Amino acid sequence: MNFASAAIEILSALTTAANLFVIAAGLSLVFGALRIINLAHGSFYMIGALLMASLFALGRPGVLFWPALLLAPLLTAGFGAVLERLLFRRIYRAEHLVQLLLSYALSLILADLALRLWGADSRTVPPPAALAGRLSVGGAGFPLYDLFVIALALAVGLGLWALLHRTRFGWEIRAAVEDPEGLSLCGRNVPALFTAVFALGAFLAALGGAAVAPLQAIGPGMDSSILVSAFIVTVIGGLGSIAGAALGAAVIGFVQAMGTLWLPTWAPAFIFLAMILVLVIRPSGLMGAPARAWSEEE
Amino acid sequence: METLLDVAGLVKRFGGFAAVDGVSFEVAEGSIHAVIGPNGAGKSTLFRLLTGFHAPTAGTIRLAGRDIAGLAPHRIARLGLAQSFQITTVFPKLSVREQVAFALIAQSPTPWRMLGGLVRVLGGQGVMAEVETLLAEVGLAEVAERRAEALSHGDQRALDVALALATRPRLLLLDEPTAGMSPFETERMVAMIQRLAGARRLTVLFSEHDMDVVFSISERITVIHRGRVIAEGDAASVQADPEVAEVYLGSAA
Amino acid sequence: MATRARLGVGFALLLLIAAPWVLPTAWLLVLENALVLALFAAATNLLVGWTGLVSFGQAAFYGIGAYTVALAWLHGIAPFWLAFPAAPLIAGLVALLTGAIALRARKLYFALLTLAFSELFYVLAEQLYDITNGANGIFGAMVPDLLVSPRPGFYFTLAVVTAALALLHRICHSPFGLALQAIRERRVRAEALGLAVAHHELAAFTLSGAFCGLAGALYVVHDQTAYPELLDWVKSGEPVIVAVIGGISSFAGPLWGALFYQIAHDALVVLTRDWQLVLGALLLLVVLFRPGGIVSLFPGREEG
Repeated sequence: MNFASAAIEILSALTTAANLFVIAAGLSLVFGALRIINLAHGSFYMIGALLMASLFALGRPGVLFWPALLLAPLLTAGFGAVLERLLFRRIYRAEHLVQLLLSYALSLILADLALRLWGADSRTVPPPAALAGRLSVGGAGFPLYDLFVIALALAVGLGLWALLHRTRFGWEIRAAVEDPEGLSLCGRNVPALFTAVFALGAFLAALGGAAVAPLQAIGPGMDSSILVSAFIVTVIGGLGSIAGAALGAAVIGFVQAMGTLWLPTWAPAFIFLAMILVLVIRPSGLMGAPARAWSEEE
Repeated sequence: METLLDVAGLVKRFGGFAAVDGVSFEVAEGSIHAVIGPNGAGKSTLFRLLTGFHAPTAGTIRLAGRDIAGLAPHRIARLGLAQSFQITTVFPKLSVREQVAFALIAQSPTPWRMLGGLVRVLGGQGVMAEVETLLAEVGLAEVAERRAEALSHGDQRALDVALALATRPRLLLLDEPTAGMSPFETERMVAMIQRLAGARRLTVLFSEHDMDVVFSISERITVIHRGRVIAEGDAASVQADPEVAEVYLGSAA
Repeated sequence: MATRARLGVGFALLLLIAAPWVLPTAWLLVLENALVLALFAAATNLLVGWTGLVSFGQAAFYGIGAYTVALAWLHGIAPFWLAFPAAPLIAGLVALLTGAIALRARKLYFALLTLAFSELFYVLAEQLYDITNGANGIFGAMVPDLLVSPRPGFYFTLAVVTAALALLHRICHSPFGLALQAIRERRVRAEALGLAVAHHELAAFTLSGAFCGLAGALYVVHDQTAYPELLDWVKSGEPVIVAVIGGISSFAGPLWGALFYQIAHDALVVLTRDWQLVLGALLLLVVLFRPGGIVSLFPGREEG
């Protein structure tokens, strides 16, 4: 394998990692703030991608790419907010088996509904004309759209950091994680805050789905495949930590790239091995707070 | 009297903060010994060190001459130190009889005996007779079939003590045994502690906020403040100690 | 067991013994599937309902049980009557090894670690093409002719499932089973009382894996095939869902759940494309409004 093809392979892995980070950041944010495990997170990703494809197809080819990229995640976020009000709100304090099963049940329902609404055929969305080309460096041609996905992930990472650490909304989220009663005593509307966080999580999943549309076929089944990857990323990084999600995505991207370069058939196994290895060494993930043996029991 | 528990130079640091900062004291076999101190004095941490839920940063804990510092909780329990917890920690969905039976069964050395317990039906080997004795001893015979979550607070604490007794301890650790109890329940608990110490020749080490309880049943009292022992003696000498008075008045103010 | 429960079990057994002479073959196969699923769910519930360990990876052991029988045939390693009893032993051994690792993590992290193991074995089954035929799976006459014909096959499955459930029931109601429940209720307290919690959890995980492996071997008797999807996390979710729908806090719950699930599945798959929707909605309703599952609908019935 020559340098050029290896470089493209690595860029492709980096693109996957960048997109995974966007999705996993949503999963981790929701877990960190609301303490729920959302197995329907992959459904939001799929819905984002499907909405992207549908909105895109409304206009003449290529015209609606950017509006659809923004609108699809926004619509999904609205849908997520509705689900939070109707369902997730009831299980914030439930044991994790209940949370896992409720969100899994929801993912089954959404998968079936998506199949009904969009059908079993897969769709494609071409990248916008401006990003359709390749950037050639040292004999290797990097697809411009891949670079855009990486830039988008960086923007999302910075945006989330600024949101959580530089705005009142972020301060309230962090305060709510520590002490929801205390915050509501301060006159804050904690339920509305939680709805907003959940919607933001759905937004990020759908943004990942919409952004990935030009890179792969869009159709049923993309929800469960991304869910496992997103969970691995989140768990490796440490549930609840955005920086952890970035680190986890980088680890998975790296492992995947190395696997694809040297042992292509075993690449999927390496990812699970990486997760097992990390959890055995650090049972709460790389950047997760170690579980306090005492507090978990009460 | 023989020394049953000998704590020497015990330290526990969390980061830079020393919750227990060089504590030493001895508990005589067969005595009722109280550990008191204002909130945050380090009593809870001290108890967790004794029961193995925290590993000490430094120091030794000798139980009947054997150093138990840093051992796993179930090993310490096997060596004869049992604890009844401050927050009620009985098993909510199991019946009173079931969980006392469990506590007795848990004493058989594992893992090899555990395999024997795989298919054996509950109720064999005289365990059930011992269950009934224990239930009578703590006054729970009448509610034996009830789930623990349906018991009154006082009965839950009594059950918790029964569970601790099932480990056949030499030293019983009680973390605020009367916390949250009505005067009637408190009286019952105090009577039970005294009865157990007398009938079972049990050594009792307890922490307590209710000073009436402390001064009425303790043979010896250790006072802790900010992770250090500031006084020790019988009820009269502790009550007369100016530093103790200042700590308590200071924290009340 | 109370007298009433004994009567119920006896009556159910009589019905099952009569079934091959009453039911059409298609329904007999549904019932046979339900029996295998019942064992799979009851074995999983030893962890989920009894010990409070939520595993999303039991399909790994189910699939290993199935592949033990299929691979023994494919490579001529051992005859069926040797491979079949070996299946739970091998599955149990793998459970012992993976459990020793997975149980280092707690709660959600444990669930996700078991899921990772499940997916890892799935990838192995798919990628070790020279050994397993990869994604194509293994098909063929791996089961003795006698067991392939409907009635003897049904009776064989019924006998194995009954014996295995009887043993599981005994385990659940033994001192060991009581210790598992104590761990579920308050782990720290159980440890403070001198229980070697980690040993008990590992023993429960190993036993559960062995029984799941037995269920997987029975699946092969029923379908004469093994393929990678038997090991993936979607398959792992199945016994958990079945147990929850039936009720995880009683021994009988997963059995009722399996019967209900299998019949509903086989009936609805014919009638509608929306089996997933119905299952999802049902699970949603149970989790939100009937956490005790189907068995909680029968008044005065707690254990079976």
